[in-house]
Amino acid sequence: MSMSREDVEHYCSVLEATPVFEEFAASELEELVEACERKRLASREALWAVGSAGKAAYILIDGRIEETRRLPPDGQRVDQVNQPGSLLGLASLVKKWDRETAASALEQTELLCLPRQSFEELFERGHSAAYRLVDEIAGQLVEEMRDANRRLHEVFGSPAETLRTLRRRVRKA
Amino acid sequence: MVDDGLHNEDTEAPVGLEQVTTAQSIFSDIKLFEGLSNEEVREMVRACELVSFEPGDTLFEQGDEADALFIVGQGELEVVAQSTLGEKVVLAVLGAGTVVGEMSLIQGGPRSATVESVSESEVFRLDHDTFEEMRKQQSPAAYKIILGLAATVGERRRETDARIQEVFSDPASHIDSFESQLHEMLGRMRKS
Repeated sequence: MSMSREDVEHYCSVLEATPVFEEFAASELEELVEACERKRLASREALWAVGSAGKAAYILIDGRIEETRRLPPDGQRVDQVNQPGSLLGLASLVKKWDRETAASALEQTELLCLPRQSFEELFERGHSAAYRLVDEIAGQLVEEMRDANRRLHEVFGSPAETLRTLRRRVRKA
Repeated sequence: MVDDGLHNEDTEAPVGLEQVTTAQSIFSDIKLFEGLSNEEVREMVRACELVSFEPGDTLFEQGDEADALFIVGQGELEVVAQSTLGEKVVLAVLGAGTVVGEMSLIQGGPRSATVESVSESEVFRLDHDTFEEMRKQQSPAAYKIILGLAATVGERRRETDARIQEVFSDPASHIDSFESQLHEMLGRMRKS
């Protein structure tokens, strides 16, 4: 969906008041918004499904998104995102990984979609908005890695407990 | 720019042009720097300092704050960790051109292992604070490295989750392995 000048100004004014984007210069924000596409979802409409190819990240403008993540072996985490300026699916800007989460709208929702290719163009040009997104991405991925290491330690660092769990599972099967 | 050149910590003398050229050729073959132009690789070389180690010297210990990345210029290093029972376990031997502690550039926290020199070694040290300064200056080289590290972290996280999932999705085939681990652990505890 293409954007008019008014749309760009509107999105910039929404984003400049948000924590992630408040330090962006007006021109940086404008270039970032111009690199994005507008996306609107109806209530309950999926933004992406588990296993779909991640080709873009999203910036929430208005509405509410629920993101569900499976945590091995049996856990699940559900996050609701409703703050304008929140970033979703950032890892897709790094690599074409398949989505590991499902995301859908809980109400009518408006987002900006930043395709990986547009991000790469900004990055290649040394655009500071792209660098700031890289800072966000690195922070998020490091946190995810810490969580995964904690789970790994629980499983392989406590063999007695893991053995009990495995035996329970075999009995149940 | 964060530094004028390479310095040897022992002598505080600048390292010669020949060594800078050698460093550049080592750095160019490292995956972490693969997206960098020649000039950007030179920038990273200049941001490093060259440190010499004798056999038995320790670069850092398990539990130390991760404050730098190291690239082996020449010599050999050993990555060692202590088991829960206090035994020394050699996890890896690192030769010229290997990078250790790259995650220190984007995350702090304690070192997960000790690294020792097993021969006379020359190692390039890229300090976390120096790298942070490059990041603040929006150095494209620094950001290419961060993006590369983000891809590595993302892959590792996926592999870690897959490893955990594999254990629990087929519990029967993993019971034997966990039983053996437990017996080994109990055996070692009895011995100690």
